[in-house]
Amino acid sequence: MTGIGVGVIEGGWEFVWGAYGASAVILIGYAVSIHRRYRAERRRTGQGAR
Amino acid sequence: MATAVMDTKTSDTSTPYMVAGAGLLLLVVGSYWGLAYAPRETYMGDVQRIMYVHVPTAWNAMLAFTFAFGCAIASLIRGGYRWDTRLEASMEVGVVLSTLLCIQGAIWAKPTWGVWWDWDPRLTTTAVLVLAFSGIIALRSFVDDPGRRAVWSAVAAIIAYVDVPIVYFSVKWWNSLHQMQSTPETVSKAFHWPLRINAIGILLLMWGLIALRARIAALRLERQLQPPPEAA
Repeated sequence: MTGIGVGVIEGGWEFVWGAYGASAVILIGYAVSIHRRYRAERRRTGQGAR
Repeated sequence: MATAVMDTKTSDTSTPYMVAGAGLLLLVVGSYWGLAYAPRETYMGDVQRIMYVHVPTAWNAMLAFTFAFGCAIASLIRGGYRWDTRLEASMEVGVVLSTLLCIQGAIWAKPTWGVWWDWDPRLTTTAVLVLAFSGIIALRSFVDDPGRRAVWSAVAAIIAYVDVPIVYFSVKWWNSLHQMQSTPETVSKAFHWPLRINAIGILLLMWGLIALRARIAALRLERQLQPPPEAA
């Protein structure tokens, strides 16, 4: 197909994996950072870590 | 200002962990559905599968900032530090989600628009949103007095929130490369479920993370508000 508005994108799985990979790394990485900061803060305030 | 922060000693910590865990599980299910079962989109092909994480991230990022806006108003009206810790938490989670939103959008834009980034109204207003809330979070660390910090960051968050409706309406107000908002009527039914499952997944994950992050802020504040030890 040719022309503006009628193109079809072929392939592109590397972009799909890139987007899902970035999402997994950022969301899991942030969740782990929250868990570690929470544990550290509880230790500092003498409430122990869970 | 009242010194009540949060009952950090007795508050249940297992609930936020369970909620966040359920969110992650739903995200795995929704993503697998979007990658393996949902059909290819007619024009965008497989690249459209990025929408199953991009759109739910966008919804929830805006929701996190809306919650921050509510916390800012509650903090100013009710005083105390409880709403301030929630404000700090929701702003940070909102910044993480909107940064991820920009990354996902850039990865989607390259094969569809031919560029990673364009100074288009939707993208520009979203970048402004990330920078505004990042600035508030960064500046909070420079104010030592918790009372003053709570008041000015609530005011700054309310001002920064003005950009959220601008982000939403930017595609309607100005010529934009970014497509208009979709509705259930404009999206094929085959695409609904992965979108909905991931939206609920990110919502639960966000809820759990905001609750835990608010507890971190409350514990820090508790230490800060403790009277200094008396000299021997």
